[in-house]
Amino acid sequence: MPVFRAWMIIFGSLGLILVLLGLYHARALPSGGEDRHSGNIKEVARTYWDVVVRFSRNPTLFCC
Amino acid sequence: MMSDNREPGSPARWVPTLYFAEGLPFYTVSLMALIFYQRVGISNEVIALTTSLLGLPWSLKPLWSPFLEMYKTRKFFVVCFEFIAGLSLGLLALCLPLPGYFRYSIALLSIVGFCSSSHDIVADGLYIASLNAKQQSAYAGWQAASLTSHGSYRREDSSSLPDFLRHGCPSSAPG
Repeated sequence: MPVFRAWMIIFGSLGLILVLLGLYHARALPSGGEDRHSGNIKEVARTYWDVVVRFSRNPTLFCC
Repeated sequence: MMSDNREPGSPARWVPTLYFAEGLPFYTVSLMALIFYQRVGISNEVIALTTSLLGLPWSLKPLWSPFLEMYKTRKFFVVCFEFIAGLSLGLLALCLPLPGYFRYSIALLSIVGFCSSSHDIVADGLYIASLNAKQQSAYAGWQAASLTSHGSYRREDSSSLPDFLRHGCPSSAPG
């Protein structure tokens, strides 16, 4: 069906563009900080809880 | 200007492409998937339900964002998510001729959605970590322009689209 063929080309091209951007970024991007090896799940859990608490304290959360 | 962990090279070389790569899968999942399903004759009710569910990763991304801070570099995750999302879109194209394309496409688009929303998290982290305050302000316009450049085509030929697609662009960009 021509409609499906057209969408195959569209999604295929988008995928290709994204992969090419990935290849370019592998070369061009800064690392964005040092390599992290924090296997500390407790610390992550603490950060996570902090995010939830701060989010729920946002005064504009329930009324705008 | 540049501190130790920043690498040489103008941000103009990577900020537009980084945010283009952030916006592309977002609009593919949130906009083009809707139009695709509508054009191939899926009912509006099914489209509304499935594409709303496909948008969930962008709402729920704070739930897993701390876990993206544990290992490797932000660059690693950015590149990884771009590859996975790109390959998933390629697979999506290949599975369209199959009889069960609807369920495969939903599965692949949800992978794209998860990768893209996670990409948002690490891309923003990388932007903040790599640029100083002045540079962050200077390139903020590039962020917005690259993110929303995909949304502009949809105005044409909207008459054949269902009502919920016809009215305006999504009010907010991801991020």
